[in-house]
Parts: sequence; structure tokens; C-alpha cells
Amino acid sequence: MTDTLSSGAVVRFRLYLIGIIIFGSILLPICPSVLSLAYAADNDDNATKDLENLSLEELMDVKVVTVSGASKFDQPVKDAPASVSIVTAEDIKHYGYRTLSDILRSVRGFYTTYDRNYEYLGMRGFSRAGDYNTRYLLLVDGHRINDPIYNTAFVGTEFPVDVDLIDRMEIIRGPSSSIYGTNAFMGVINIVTKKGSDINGMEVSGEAGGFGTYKERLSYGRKFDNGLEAIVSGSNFNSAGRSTLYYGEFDSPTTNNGIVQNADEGRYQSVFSTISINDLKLQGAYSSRAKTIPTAAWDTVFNDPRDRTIDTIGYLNLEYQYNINNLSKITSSIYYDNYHYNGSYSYPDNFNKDISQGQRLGGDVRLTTTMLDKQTIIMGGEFVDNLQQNQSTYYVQPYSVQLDDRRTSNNWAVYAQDELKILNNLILNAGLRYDYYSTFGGTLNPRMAMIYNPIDSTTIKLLYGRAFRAPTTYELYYNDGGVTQKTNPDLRPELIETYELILGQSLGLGYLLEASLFYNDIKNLITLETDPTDGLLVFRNQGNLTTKGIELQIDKQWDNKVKGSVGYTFQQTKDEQTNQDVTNSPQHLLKAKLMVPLISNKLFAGIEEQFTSRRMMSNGEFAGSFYITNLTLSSSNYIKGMEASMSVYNLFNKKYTDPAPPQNLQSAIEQDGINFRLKVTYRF
Amino acid sequence: MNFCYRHAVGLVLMLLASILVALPVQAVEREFDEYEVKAFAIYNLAKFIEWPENSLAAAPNLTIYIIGDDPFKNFREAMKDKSVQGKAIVIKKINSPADVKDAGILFISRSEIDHLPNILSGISRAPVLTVGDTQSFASRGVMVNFYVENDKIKFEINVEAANLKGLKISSNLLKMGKIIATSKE
Repeated sequence: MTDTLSSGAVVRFRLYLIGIIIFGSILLPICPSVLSLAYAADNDDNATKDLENLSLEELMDVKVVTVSGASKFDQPVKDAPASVSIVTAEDIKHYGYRTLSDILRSVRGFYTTYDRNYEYLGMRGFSRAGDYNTRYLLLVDGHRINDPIYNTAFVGTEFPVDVDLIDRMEIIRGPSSSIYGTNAFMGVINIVTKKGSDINGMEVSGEAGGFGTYKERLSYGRKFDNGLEAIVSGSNFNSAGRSTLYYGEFDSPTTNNGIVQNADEGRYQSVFSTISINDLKLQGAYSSRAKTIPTAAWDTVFNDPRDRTIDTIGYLNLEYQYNINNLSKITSSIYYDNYHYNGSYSYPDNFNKDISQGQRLGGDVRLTTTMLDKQTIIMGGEFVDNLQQNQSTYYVQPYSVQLDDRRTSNNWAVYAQDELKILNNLILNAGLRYDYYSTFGGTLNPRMAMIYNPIDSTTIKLLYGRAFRAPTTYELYYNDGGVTQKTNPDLRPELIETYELILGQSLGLGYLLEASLFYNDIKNLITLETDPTDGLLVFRNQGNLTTKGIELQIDKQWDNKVKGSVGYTFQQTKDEQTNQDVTNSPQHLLKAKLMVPLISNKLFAGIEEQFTSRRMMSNGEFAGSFYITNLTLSSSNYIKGMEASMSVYNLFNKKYTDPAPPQNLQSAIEQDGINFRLKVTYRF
Repeated sequence: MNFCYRHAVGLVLMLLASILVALPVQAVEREFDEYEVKAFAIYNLAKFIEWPENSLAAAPNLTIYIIGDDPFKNFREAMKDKSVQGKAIVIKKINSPADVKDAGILFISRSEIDHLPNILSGISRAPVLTVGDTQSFASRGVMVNFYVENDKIKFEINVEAANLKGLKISSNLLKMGKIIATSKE
């Protein structure tokens, strides 16, 4: 009892402390800056007069107040053969995003599921229970992050790059296997990181958030006169997590009446660096995240803080670009990835360790040429050697090994894409890629797009794409010695075919409309099933889903730099074999956001509203629909080099749940109520 | 107070930062509005440009055309009694590149990022200096492109694009900017 009391006092103390800092950081700058604005208004006339007499050289030496996003983060979504959303560093700042999952949840058509260990992505009505985001290809500056064993696209705190280092995130909807191969199934998420010159000096950042969450970051970046550009950054994250959690399914005296105490801790350390000189670029990242699992997933002992996973991800990527002439260039890279997974699970009579180790060595070469008139041709090849794809699981005391599976595999691919300007306002984009896997053989995947601009303000895109996802090492070979699960080395790849019609229309007065109509057909879905002959779990190519949907988005930018958007998705996913609705597939998604500069270039308010309609759970019941509101106030440029922000997530303390993956006894996992974050960054 | 030890670094940072935030305003270097500076920079640019075959001399004024959302505040006001090469400066907002009638300067706003190829190809034969302030514009064929570096305005020059239209850029201007080639990607 005293324990609870004192921890309550600590929580309250933290709340006070953080509250004081919030007010210090947000309110104090407002008052003097209002004064300084008045001062500026007084001197406006003189300012213009002064500029009037300056030479060009002198003009280039005066300091300007940079308008948000000044020339840096804009990227044309020109003629992309897909529906693309872009999230910039400014958005990350103004809306207080903490993880990729935060970012993706704010993007039209995406939703997430959190089981208090990993974040799972859903899009276009598709989110398989227990899928580690294998249907999304996650890239950092073009380098594949999905690991060699589970093919996870890490979007939670285990993602190896600090979100503060993201310059731009490109979210490409639809299949892109014709260029990228496996995992580019539902979509591709490409993260473009900041360069040395974006930091230009030293940056220190500290943040404190709800549930005892703290993060520190130190970054250094610079571009030197000799052409060398470097960025080095390190982050440290600690989160105590929820001190108590309640799960009704475990509400019995033998399992602490369903209450979990202090078993929601999360930690990570990460380092990231990019060094480039001329056309050569070397990038490396390393991160290790540990998370305690409070949900007693995999039938482990309830309320035991020893249940946890550690995901360690590292890679090195060396890229070289060679310009043959004005019209052609070759880009090539060689890379090395290392992934280590360490799971600890406590059982009533024993303790289980689940360990995986993957290593991947690969390289690719790509030629881009515009030698032929009106055509941009890309041709390339890729080779991947999975040096190690080992999975093991054993009991500690008494020691017994259930699985010690050691594998290697390789795959290669060749591909080509041609963008042909048939007319000045009509583009045909066609791509084809052949992949060969040592595990299952070959697969050929095309993509076609017609992009038509009948008038300046209108773009019409018609898209067809086919993509595959290779069975993962985990799906092929994981078993526990025949106790509950067996292998299926004969798995074939999953396939998806998509058709999409997109209309982009500029409506004038800063209004932009994007509408899209899509149809997805997924076949040979790899599904975990129970074999009726022996009662063992096994992965099989079993499942055929179709999704029909429509998406609408309106973006508006006002003259006074206020920006807003509303995106809506309606989708229906059906299991074609059973003719039933599928789990974790909301019919309606709504995303609205508004960014208002309260004081020009100094203080911004970002507000978001996200609606997810009800989602079916594994037991046939529904996780209810919910609205979430997030609010972020951020100030920058007030003191040179200083940025401060305050975010409140789930502002109205909405209680809501996410459907749980199959390893949980719970059918739904309750999500966090109101929580906050304060962040201060100083650059010098 | 275990958490104080565990998060000492974070707390110290936070404290330091909040003190910094709360510090009184120091006399900082004078800052100007980005687009006010750019307006005068465009005016000054004109002094370094030689338009082909007296096409400027044949024009009644030196027109600065603006296509897309106008980011400038008082461009017209600021240019009221300015002239370059003996020509008074006129500011004209246009909706289509076909509206460019005389030699002069065309500022292409960031809002036109997706229409850039159409705009560049749509300019009539009138020789205009194309100016932008959006990343990648120079490499996509805009002659002068502003960018902000360390809170100061810099510019890139695509000499090739200017030469194609018969505009000559003085070497003094070339020295001040960064030379960029048209990328064919």
C-alpha cells in the first residue's frame, strides 16, 4: 500500500516538474516576443529602407527569418506511379511525432495496433494479426531495414534511426515489387535522413514524457569546404511505462487479480552516422531496444517483469554514384545487415529463451539513363546473400533445446523500368522485375501506370501492380520440436494484384484534392493454421482477401501559412474463401490536421484528429471505434538555435483498445489515455 | 528519487534548456523578412543580366512576372521608383506562362512545383530570366534559384538554361552563386 502511495507521489512530483518546465518554455517566450514583434512593427519602414540601398552581395549577408520549410523539404510528387504522401521534418516537429508509428497513424489510410511490445501497421483494410509488418518495405535512404529472419518493418521504438534525424518520409501506397522486390507489397516507406549541413553544428535535445519517458540525443553535423559532409548522432531512451495495467482476462487471485505492476519498461540506445564525400556515401546505424512484455503473451507467467524482447539492429551501407555523362548515371551499393533477437519468456516450471541471429550481405547496381528521347530508363540488378538465418529456442533449467535451426539462403533479381513521355501531358510508366530465391524459385512482377495531365491543374493516374512477399525464414522453419508448431519448407510467396485510379485536382485558392479508388486482390496469403491431422500449428498458403476502397484528401494552405488537411478512407475487406469480414480491418478512417503559426515563425500550434471505426477481433467481437486528439505547441527561432515543444496526446483521455495478436489471451489491448511530452532542442 | 539518478542527463538538459528559454531577449542581429530580401535580390540580379539582342530595350518596362502563389508582401511598393538598365520595373501576376509577353524576369512560385516542366516549356519566345526559390528548381532548368543557408539567402545559377534562351549572365554574378547543371533524371 505504501508502495503505491509513494509511487503516486513520485508521479505527481514528475507531473508538477514537467508542468513547470512546460509553462517556462512555452509561455515565457510568448510575452517578450509579443513585445519584440511590436518593436519590429515600429521599425518596419526603416527595415525596407535599409534593404533598398544594399548591393546583391550585401543582401546575401543579411539575416532572414526563414519561413517554415524554406526551400529545404519540398519535393515534387511529380509523376510518381503511385499514391504518395510526404511527411517532412517540419511536420514531425509541429505535430510532435515520436515514432514512425506516430507518423504513419497520421497519414491517410494507415492505422496501427500496439500490443505493448511492437507496433503493427495496417493499411487499405489489411492488418494480419501477428504480422510483423512484413507487407511493408521499410527503407532508410534506399537501404532495406526489414530484417533477414522475420522481415519486420520496425516502426516503434525499435526503429534504428531517431525520428529527429528524418528529413523527409515518403509513404508510397501500393505494390512496388517491380522495383524493390519482396515486402513492397502493401506499400513502401522510405526515410530520407538529414545531412550534415542540415544540422550544421552541434545539437542537443532532451525530452520528457508521460509514464516516466525520457529521451536524450546528441548530434553533430557539418559540411566541410573539401566536400566532406558528415553527421553523427546518438540517442538514449528510457521509459518506465505504465506502473500498473489491468487485464480482465487474468482477474483471478492466482494472477494478482489481473493487475500487472512495473512490467512495461522500454529502453533503447542508438547511433547513426552518414559520411559522404563527392559521390561516395557511407551510412551506418545501430540500435538495441529492450521492452518488457506486460501482457503475458505466449502463455507466459502473468505479472512477471522478466518477460521481454531485445531487438538489436545494425547496418552499414556504402553507396557510390558515377555520372557517365549528362544523360546517364550508375548508382551502386554494397551493404551488410545484422539483426539479433533475444526473447525471454517465463513459464510456471521453466524459463524459455528464444534467440534469432541474422546476417545479410548484399549489393546492387542501377543504371539510370535519358539517352533515348522522351524516356527515362532504369535498369538494375541486386544480389543478397543471407549469411546467417538462425533460430533457436531452449529452456534454461532444466536445459533442453527445442529448436536450433541454422540456415543460409540467397536471392537475386534483375529489373527494368521505363518512363515514356508519349505526349507532353501523357506518361506511361512500366516496370518489371524478376526475383530468384534459393528457397522457392522465381517470381516475375510487373507494374504499369498511365499519368495524364489534361490541364495544368489536373492529374489522372491509372495504376496496375503486382507484388510478392517471399516466405520468411520464420514462416518456413520455425518450430518448437513438435510441441505446438511445425515447419513448412514448401511455402510459396504471397501475391497481391492492385488496381487504382487517382485524381489529383488543384481547386484554386490553395485547395488541393486527391481522390483514389482502389481494388486489392491478395492470394496465397501465408497464414498460421492448425493442421487437423496432428493438431500442430503450421504456416500455409491459405487465404484470398480482396479489398475495395475509396480515399479522399483535401489539403489547404492559407496565405498566412496556416496549413491543414483532411483525409478519409472507406474500405471493405473480404475473405473470399469464407465470404466473411476480416479481423482488424476498420471500414472508416479519418485523419484531420491543422498547423497554425500563432506567432509568425516563432510559435506553432499543431492539432490532429484521428478517427478509426470499429475493428473485429479474433473472437468475433469488436474493438470499438474511437477519436483521438493530439495537440502540440512548438516554438522555434525565439532564441537562436533553440526549439521547444509541448505535446499532449489523446487530449480528451479517450479510452480505446486495439485488437490483440493471436499470441495473447486478451482479445483486445487497452491503449494509453492522455499523456504528454515536453521537448527542448538546442543547436550551437 | 531513483528516477533522478537514472535520468540525470535528461533533467540537467531540461533545466538548462528552460533557463535558456526564459532568458530575457538579447540584442540579436537584425533579421529581415525572407521575401523582402528576395524582392530586392531579384531587383539586383537584373543588373547583372544581359538580355538578347536588345530585347529589353524594345520593351516598355522591365516586367517581373510572378506565376503561382505570390509570397512577396509589398513587391510593387518596394519597386515603385526603381529602374534597371533605364527601364522602370513593373510587377505582374500571371496565371499561365503564355502571359509572358516581353523580356523580363519570371518568378516561379513554390506552389508550381508540380507544373514546373509545363511552365518552362510554355514560356513564349520572349526572353525571360527564370527565378525560383524551391529545392531542385535549378537542376530542373530554372536559371536562378534562391535557397537559405545559415539564415542567409544564397542562390544557384543554371548557366546552361540561361544560355539556351540567349541570356548572358555577368561573371560577377556567377562568382556570387553556385553553378548548377540541368540534371536529366
